[in-house]
Amino acid sequence: MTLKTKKGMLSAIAVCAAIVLTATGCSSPANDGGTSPAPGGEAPAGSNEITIGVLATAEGNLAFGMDEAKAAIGVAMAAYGGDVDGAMIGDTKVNLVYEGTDGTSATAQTKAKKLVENTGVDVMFGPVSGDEGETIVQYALTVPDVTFVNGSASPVSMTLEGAENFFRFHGDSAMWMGGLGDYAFKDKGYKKIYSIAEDYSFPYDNAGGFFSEFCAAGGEVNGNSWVPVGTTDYATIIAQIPADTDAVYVGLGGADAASFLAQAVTAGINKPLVGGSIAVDTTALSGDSNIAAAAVGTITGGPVPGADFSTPTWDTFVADYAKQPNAFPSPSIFAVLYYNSFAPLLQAIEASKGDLSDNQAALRAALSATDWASPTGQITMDANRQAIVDNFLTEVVEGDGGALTTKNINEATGVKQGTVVYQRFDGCPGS
Amino acid sequence: MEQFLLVTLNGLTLAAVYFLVASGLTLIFGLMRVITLAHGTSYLLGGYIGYVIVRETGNWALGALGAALAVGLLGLVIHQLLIRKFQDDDMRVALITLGVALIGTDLMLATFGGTATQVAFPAALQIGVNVPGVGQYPLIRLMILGISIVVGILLSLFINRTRFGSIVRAGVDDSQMTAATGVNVRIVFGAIFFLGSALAGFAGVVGGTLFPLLPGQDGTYLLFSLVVVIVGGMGSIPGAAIGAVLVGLVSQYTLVIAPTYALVVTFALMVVVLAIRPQGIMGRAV
Amino acid sequence: MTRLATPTRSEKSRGWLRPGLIIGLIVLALAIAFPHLVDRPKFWIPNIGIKSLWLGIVAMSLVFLNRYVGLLSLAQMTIAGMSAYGVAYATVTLGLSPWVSIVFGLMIGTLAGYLVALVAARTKAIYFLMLTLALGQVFYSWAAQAVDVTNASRGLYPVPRPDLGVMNLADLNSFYYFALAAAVLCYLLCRYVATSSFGLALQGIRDSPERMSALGYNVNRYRVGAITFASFIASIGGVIVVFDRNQVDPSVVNLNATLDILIVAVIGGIGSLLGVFAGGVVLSLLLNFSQDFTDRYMTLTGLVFIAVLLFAPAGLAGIGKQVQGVKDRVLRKKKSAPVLEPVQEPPTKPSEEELTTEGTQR
Repeated sequence: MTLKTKKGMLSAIAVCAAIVLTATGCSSPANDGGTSPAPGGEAPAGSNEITIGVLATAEGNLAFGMDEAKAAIGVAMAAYGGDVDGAMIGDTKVNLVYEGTDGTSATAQTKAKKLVENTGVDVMFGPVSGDEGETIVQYALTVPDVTFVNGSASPVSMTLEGAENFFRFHGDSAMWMGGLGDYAFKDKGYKKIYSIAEDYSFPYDNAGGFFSEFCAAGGEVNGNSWVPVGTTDYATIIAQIPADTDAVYVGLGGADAASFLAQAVTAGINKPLVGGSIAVDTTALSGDSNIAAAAVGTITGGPVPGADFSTPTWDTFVADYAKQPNAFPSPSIFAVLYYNSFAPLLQAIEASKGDLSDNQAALRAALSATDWASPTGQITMDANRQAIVDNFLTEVVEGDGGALTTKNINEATGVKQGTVVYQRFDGCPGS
Repeated sequence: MEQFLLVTLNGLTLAAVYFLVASGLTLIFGLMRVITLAHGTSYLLGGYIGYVIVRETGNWALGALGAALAVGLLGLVIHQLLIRKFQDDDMRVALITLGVALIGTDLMLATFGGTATQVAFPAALQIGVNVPGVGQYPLIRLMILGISIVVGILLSLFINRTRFGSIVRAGVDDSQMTAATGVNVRIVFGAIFFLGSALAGFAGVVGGTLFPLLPGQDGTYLLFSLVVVIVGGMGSIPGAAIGAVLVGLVSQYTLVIAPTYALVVTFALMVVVLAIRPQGIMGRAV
Repeated sequence: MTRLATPTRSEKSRGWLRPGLIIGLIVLALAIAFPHLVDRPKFWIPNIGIKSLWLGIVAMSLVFLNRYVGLLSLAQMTIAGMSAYGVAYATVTLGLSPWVSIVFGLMIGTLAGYLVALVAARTKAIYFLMLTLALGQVFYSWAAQAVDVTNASRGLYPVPRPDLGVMNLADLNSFYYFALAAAVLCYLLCRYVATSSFGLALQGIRDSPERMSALGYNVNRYRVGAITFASFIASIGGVIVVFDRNQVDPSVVNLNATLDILIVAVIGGIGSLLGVFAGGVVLSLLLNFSQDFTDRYMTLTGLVFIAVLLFAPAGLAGIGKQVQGVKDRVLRKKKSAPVLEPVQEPPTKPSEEELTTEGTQR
């Protein structure tokens, strides 16, 4: 019996060695197992069919991302007489394939690989979250023959990685605070601000963008609380806010922001608030928590204008958005960013006549040349394929019937990307 | 000093919620020697049910009661359908309840969405009251502390003073002997599963009043209740209280000293307790 | 001590050896040919092949602990994640060479497993489950916060697949065979340890710690040794994870990842060291394709998971045997060992027999 086992093991070890030998033999560049092109992945010049793979969140806390992405794409495609599944752009047939993620980088990697290698898409569009975005840029570097257009991921670093095939048509999270630091210091007269923010990359960039401008204007940061994401009990954090602070910066999002605001009411905070870009967005304000007393008067910055904003292009977009299935009462930040990113892609396909030859050079040139009056202002591209955009400063106000809404207070035009990728900081960033 | 007292009070009120969740878990384990990993799911479901009832009726107490009843019944059904057969196989019960948790989490996400909600409570109660030595303190947190203490006392009385309680205690000591004395252990098990789940559902409404309800909270509360019962000793109600207070206080103190590592330090507490006393503070050596 | 049921072995198990071995070899041959059989290798190799292999390796460490020590650990993915973080830290932050990084990662994972073992070995089975679950979350929250070491949620990147000299892992096929070889080696190692005197003592301890203690065995030390060994296996999986993903971030060790490993082990058959790879294939197929026919991936997974636990506790690996069991019962119309019951094996059961039947469970 024992002998038999030993014999089995010997043969198994031999098999194992054989595997290694086969493998080393396979290392020769002639046979790398990946040269066979996926159908549609390498379309010949003049081909008039383009497949776009869309990544959006369909599970987890951002599960509504997919609906918002489809609503945005639906609006953009309707302009060409198509729908979320496809359209004819000039002579080019555009097909769309969707993959849902759960907002983590692991799933984004899996699904992106599936779209590129299995479905054989020509263009990748997405993703939603910052964690996904950073990993997708890394992936983009490994597949130079596919063009990537970002969805709503906003880490600063993404367009600084040197991925020639990666385009972002909206501001990064530091740019979303563009103009707010000056406004807080000069117009609101805040000299000292206490910062409460979640401890991860988005708030680093977001708060970094705000405080670098605020500090440059002459403001002072009199304390930082970096709290873990998912912190729901803010009683102790609130107790640490110094009495002489002029305002509190709330770099929280989603449930954390709602918790903070609700608890700020019962704890009797009477300081004005400065919100990070996702602290007082529509999803937070439309929740059931009683946050009015804390939220009203909060100023914030971001790519989405206040509810009273009205230009012809914006109004048209909002009206078209409302016709889409599963639309929110007003477009969320994700719908706005996905639309602002997808429309230029369609325009570029139209301009380049669907020509994907020479590593999609014509398409990429057209994307880089984008100069478009979007619903939220003019969008042009810089040398890093990062958009130069307008940014909005808004204030939370009580609307009709006591519901919370936002009011446009200022607009920063032509906001450009900085070159700083922010890390966790104490006091002013970089100090 | 004022800050220290304030943070202590925060820790105690947080512990109140932890205790409510963990008491159900420890009760089930105490009698049945099985651990239900769907306990966090019961918490979140209770919170959502309470949220819906309160939104429709405007009555918080009704919401809490309805949630407890509904989640308790669901727990009973799950026990009868999936767990009863494998009662002696603690590992398999743990895994089956884990499967239930996976499904429950997903269905709740589909039903209630990924954004946060909170159980509403009367605006008249959203005020601060003056606590000596602390200053203004949210009334709602004090009320939750009170509710939790009352529930704890009721549970203790129930276990120590009633006939059913004595059966439960006997069952904890030796379920086979108890069955031999003519007690229908099967009914007792079902009742305990109902009660344990109902407590989690009730805790969901209480916790959902103070903190947001959203996907992910089920996992968080499952973990915290596991930590609480491991620290306090499995199967002991006073142990759950002690564990909850320790976890609540430690998490709030570290939130002041080293906010980034609040969670890590809280879990480290559990490791320390286990290293010194593997059965937990109030647990009996097994 | 109760533990998850492993399939009861039929008396005729010796006769199964040959077909079992043949099936095993066929599967191995298929695994070797796999990169050349699929139409889109750049998708199938990483997304299904390599993913199944590392899921299987990590799950194998879980199965080893469950089968030979009677402990169900939910920290195996965490250990693998630590090893992955070790490799990434050595590569990205310290700038060490690939070989050194790999060794560093393996050491980190194994050492972490040893430390977990020191705390956890004294606890009873169900406590061990809860403790490892909680420890996994400690590491997750630490990894998500410790900017200085783990770069928090951004994670550590890039970790390119290295050229190891004998093997250039940058080549996808080579990397696949590297993972396959690692999987085979892990399996052989697990079997070897299980048949050694150490493994026999472990099984004795699993079945009757008191008796083994009375016989003079240091029960704790054996358990610590076994958990450490399983951590080493999981760490090997972690090395493949980090090269597969070219980066490591907290999502490698989050609760879902932890549960994935458990699901793989349960679907594959929690008593079978080889069934895990079947489980790995099932899960990676589900992850990639379930969206084509349902939006509720987690519900589907949960249902499959519960169904396996209720009706086929020996998992895919045991289905053949289970069918055989039913057939036997029908044919002989006489009481045969029901597969659904938890098994209490006598400590004296010779383990060689267990091993020779191993192949038949595929």
